[in-house]
Amino acid sequence: MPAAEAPLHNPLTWLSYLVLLALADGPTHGYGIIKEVERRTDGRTRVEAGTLYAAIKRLREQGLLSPVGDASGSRRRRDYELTATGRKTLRLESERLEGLVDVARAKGVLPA
Amino acid sequence: MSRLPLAYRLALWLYPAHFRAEYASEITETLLAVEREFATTSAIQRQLRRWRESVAIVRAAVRLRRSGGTPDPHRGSKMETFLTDLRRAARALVRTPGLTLSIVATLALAIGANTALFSVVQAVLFQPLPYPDADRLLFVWQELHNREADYYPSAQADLVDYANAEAIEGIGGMWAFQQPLVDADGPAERVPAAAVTANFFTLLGLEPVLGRDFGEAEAAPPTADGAPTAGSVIISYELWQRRYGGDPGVLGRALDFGAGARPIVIGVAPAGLRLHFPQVAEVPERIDAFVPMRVDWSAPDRSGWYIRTFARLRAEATVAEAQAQIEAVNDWQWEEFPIYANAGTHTYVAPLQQALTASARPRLLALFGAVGFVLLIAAVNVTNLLLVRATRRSRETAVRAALGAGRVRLLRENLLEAGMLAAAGGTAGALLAVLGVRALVGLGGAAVPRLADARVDMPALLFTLVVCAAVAIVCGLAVGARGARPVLLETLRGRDGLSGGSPRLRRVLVVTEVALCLVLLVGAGLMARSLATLLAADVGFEPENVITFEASLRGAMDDGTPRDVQDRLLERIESLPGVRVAATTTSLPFGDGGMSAPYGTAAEVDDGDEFDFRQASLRKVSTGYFEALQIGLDMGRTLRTEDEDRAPPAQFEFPRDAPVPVVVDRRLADRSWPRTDPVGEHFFMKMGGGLWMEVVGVVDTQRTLGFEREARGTVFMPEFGSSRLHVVVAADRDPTAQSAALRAAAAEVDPRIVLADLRPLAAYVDDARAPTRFATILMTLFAGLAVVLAGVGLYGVMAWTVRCRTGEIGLRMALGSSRPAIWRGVVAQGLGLVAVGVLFGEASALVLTRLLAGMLHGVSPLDPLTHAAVPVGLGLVALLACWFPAWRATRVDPLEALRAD
Repeated sequence: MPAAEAPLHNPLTWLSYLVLLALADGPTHGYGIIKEVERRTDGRTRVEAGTLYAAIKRLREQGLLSPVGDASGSRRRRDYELTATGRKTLRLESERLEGLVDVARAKGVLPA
Repeated sequence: MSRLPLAYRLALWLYPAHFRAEYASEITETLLAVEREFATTSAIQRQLRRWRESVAIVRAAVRLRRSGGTPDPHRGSKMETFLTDLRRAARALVRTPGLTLSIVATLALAIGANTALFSVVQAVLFQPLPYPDADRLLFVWQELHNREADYYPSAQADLVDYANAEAIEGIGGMWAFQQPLVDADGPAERVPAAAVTANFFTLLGLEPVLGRDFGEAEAAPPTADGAPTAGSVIISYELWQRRYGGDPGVLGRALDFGAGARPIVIGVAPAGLRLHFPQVAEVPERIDAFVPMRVDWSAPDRSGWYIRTFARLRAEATVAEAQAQIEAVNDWQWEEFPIYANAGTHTYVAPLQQALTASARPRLLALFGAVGFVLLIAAVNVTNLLLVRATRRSRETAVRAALGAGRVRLLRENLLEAGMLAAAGGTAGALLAVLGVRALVGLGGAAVPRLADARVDMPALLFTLVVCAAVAIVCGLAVGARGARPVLLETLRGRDGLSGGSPRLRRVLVVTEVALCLVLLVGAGLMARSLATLLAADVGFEPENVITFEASLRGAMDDGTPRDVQDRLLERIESLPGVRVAATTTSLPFGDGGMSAPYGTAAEVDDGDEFDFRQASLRKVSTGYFEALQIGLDMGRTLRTEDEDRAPPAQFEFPRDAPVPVVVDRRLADRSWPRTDPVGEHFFMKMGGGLWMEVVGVVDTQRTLGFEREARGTVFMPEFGSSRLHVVVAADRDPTAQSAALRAAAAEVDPRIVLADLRPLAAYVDDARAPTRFATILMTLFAGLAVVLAGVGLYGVMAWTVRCRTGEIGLRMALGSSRPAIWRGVVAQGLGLVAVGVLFGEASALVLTRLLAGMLHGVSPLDPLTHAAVPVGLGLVALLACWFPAWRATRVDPLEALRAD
C-alpha cells in the first residue's frame, strides 16, 4: 500500500481516533483493539470486527498505522502499531479536542 | 469452538477479493475471539452479537465495494447491478408488507416446526445409545401370560439358563434400590444404587475411569455360612466429584452404608454414565453406587424374579436367532420347572434402543406425520401467496416488459425476491427450530426417554431449508416466467388476472389445503378427546391435597419397634393444623411398581396346580390409608387397628388356618369370585413363606400401574411395622406449604428419621399422564398452525377472486343485484371450495386416523363427534376467511368498476 508521507488527516473520524488511541500504549491485534476501546469507553462502545478492519485498511492507506514485523509473518494474528505519522496525528487530534473542551469550559458547558 | 458460525463465513465472502486476501484470516481470528468471549453469555446475547457482527461485515463490504479500489471494473459493475436488483427486490417486498410477512411467517413456521420435531425424533428414536456397539445390546424380559403381567424381570437362574443361547455373547442383570450413605464426607443421604452382575460394565462396553472393574472376587458366590463380607462398590463419577471432591484417594476407602455395611470403593464409573432401560423396567437413569450381585451359579435362585436383564449379541448373530434360542431355553424351563408353565412365561429379547423407545415411537411417528402435513400445507400456501403477489404486480410487470426491460432481468428480479423471502423465512425458521427444540424438551421432560439430549439436528434443518427455499424459488420462477411473457396485452388492457389455467390451479391448491388441514384436525381432535378421557379416568383414589414422603425409621428404632416409631410419627403429623389424616403404605400409587406376587383362590390352590394363578399388587398400609386417599368401600369393612395387632410374622408367613385379614380391590374380587360374595373368602399369595389371606372388604378398582396399562388386582394388607415406608398426608387444603412443618414434626418425634421425596401425590398421577399430554399438546399446536395456514390460503384466494371479478360484480350491481346477493355469491364460492376439500379430507381421515388407534384411550378412531365437529369448525374458519373479501365485493362502486374495464 502506498502510504509513505501522507498529509495529516484532521479531524479524524470518531472510530479512527478510538483505534489510534487504543494503539497508543503499544502494538496489539484486532481483538485487543476492540477490547481496549470497550474498556476505555466503559463498555459503551463495542466495535464490530467487520467495521474495525475496514477502518484498519483505511488507516493503513493513510499511513497512520502499520502491521508489526515483516509482511511474510502469520496473518492470523497480526499486531498493529502506530506509525510516527499516526502518533503525531493522534497528538494533534487530541490537542484539537482539548482546545474544543477548553471552549466548552469557557462557555460554561462544563464546570471550569 | 474452532469453526466460525456459518453466517460469518457467508458474510465474509461479500468482501472484495483483495480485501479478503489481506484481512480475512485476521477477521476470522478476531471473530473467534468474540465467539469465545460470548460463549458464556445467554443465547439471546450471543445471537444478538452475531447479528451485529454480521451486519457490520455486510455494511463494510458494501462500502468497500462502493468506494472502488477493485482492480476489476467489470466485476464491480456486475456487483453494482446485483446490488441494485437486490435493493429493488427488497423495496418490492417492503411495498406489500402483509403478503411478505405471510409468506415469511409460513416458511418460518414450517421450517421451525419441522426441524424441531425431526430433531426430537432423531434424538429419541435414532440416536444410538451412548455405549460402544450399542446396537448389539439386547433387553430381555418376560411376559407372564397366565398372570397378566408384562415386562416382568427374571430370576438369577434365568441368567444362567439364557447364557446357553449361542447367539448371546454375555448376559447380565441388575436391580435398583435406594442406598443410605452415612459417612462423614457429607450429609446423610440416600443415593440411587444397583446390585449388578460382575460383568455389568463389560457388557455395556465401559470401563471405570479410575480403579478397577468388578472381577473374580465379586463374581464369587456368597460364602456358605452367610457371614457378611466386606464387599466392593463402584461409585459414579458424579458422586465421586460431588461427595468426595474428586479425590483419587477414595479408592480403597470403606463407605458407610449404615447397618454395618462398609463396602470398599474399587472404582469410579465413567463421567455422565446413564442407564437407558425402558421405563417399565423402573431402572433410574443415574446410579451412584454399583454393588456386586452375589449369585450362586451352581444353585441359582429360581423363585425371586426381580433382575432386570440385558445381553450382548455376538457380532455375527441376529436378534431373531437370539430370540429363537431363548425360546428354546424357555421351552426347556417349562418342562423342567412347573413354576414357568404355571406363570405362562414367554421370554423376549429386543434391541435395547428399540425397547427403550417402544412406548414413545408411535406418538413421535404420528407427530412426525402431523408435522409433514404442516409442511405440505405450508408449501401449498407459499405457492398460493406467491401467485397472489404475482397477480397484484402483473400490470407493473407487463408495463416494464413492454417498455423493454429484459426478460432475463425480470426473471432475475423474481428469483431474487423469492430468494430473499426464502432467506428471511429460513433465518426465522432456524431460530424457531432452536426455540422449538427447547420448548419440546421442556414440555416433554421426563415423559419421553432421551428427550433431554435433543439438539437441533443440522441435517434436518438443512433439508427443510432446502425444501422450503426450493418451493419459494421454483414458484417464484414459475410465476416470474409467466409474468415475463412479452405479450401481455390482456393485462395491459386492464383485464387483471392470469391466463386460463391459473384459477383452476389455485382452486386445487385451496381444496388440497383444506383436505390436509381436515385430516390433521381430526387427528388432533381424537387425541384431545382421548386426553380428556384419560384425565377423567377414575384411578380409584383422590390424589388432590395429599402430600407424600418416604421415611426411613432405621436410625430411630433403638427406642422401640418400627411400629411404635411409625405410630408416634403418624400421631404427631395428624396433630398438625389442617391435616385430616396421615397413613403409611409400602408403595405409592403411580410411584415405583411396588411388590407384586401370584395369587390363587382356595379352590385353585386345592386343584393343586398354579396354572390359574394371577398376578396382584401387594401393599401394606396403615388403617388410615383408605380415608386419606378417599378410597370408596364397596363391601365389608376396611382395615382396623386390631388387624395390625397380630404378632408380626417372623418368616413373613400366614398359615391356612390363621389367615391375615386383607382388603382387595374390585378388579381382583370380580376376577376371583365373580358370582359369590368375596367378603369372607380365603386366598393364597405366593410370597415369603406363603401368605393365606381372608377378604374382609372390597374397595374400588385401583388403577395404579399407569393410565395406558390394564389395571391389575390390588391387595391391601395391614402394616405390622417396616423400617422404611411412604407416608401419605391428607390435608384440608394444598399441603405443599406444610413441607417444613412435616419435617419439623418428624424431627420432633426422632431426629434420626430420614425424610425423602416430599412430593404431592397428584404429581405422581400427573407424571403418568405426561406422555399422552405431550403428544396431544403438540398435535393440537400443529393442527392450530394448519388452521391458520389454511385460513390465510383461503383468504388469499378469495381476495384475489374478488379482485378479478370486480368488473363483473360492478356490472351485476349496475344491473340491479343487491349487496347481500353479491355477498352471498362470494361466500358461497369460498364455502364450495371448502366443501370439496372437506369431502376429500374426510375420506383420507377415515383411513389415516386408524393409524392413531394405539394412542387413543376410550375413543374410537371413527368417533362420530370428532368427525362431525371438525368440518363444522373448519367451515366457520372458512366463513371468516371469506368474510372480508365478500364484504369488499359489496363495496365495489359499479361506476368505477365499469370505467376501469
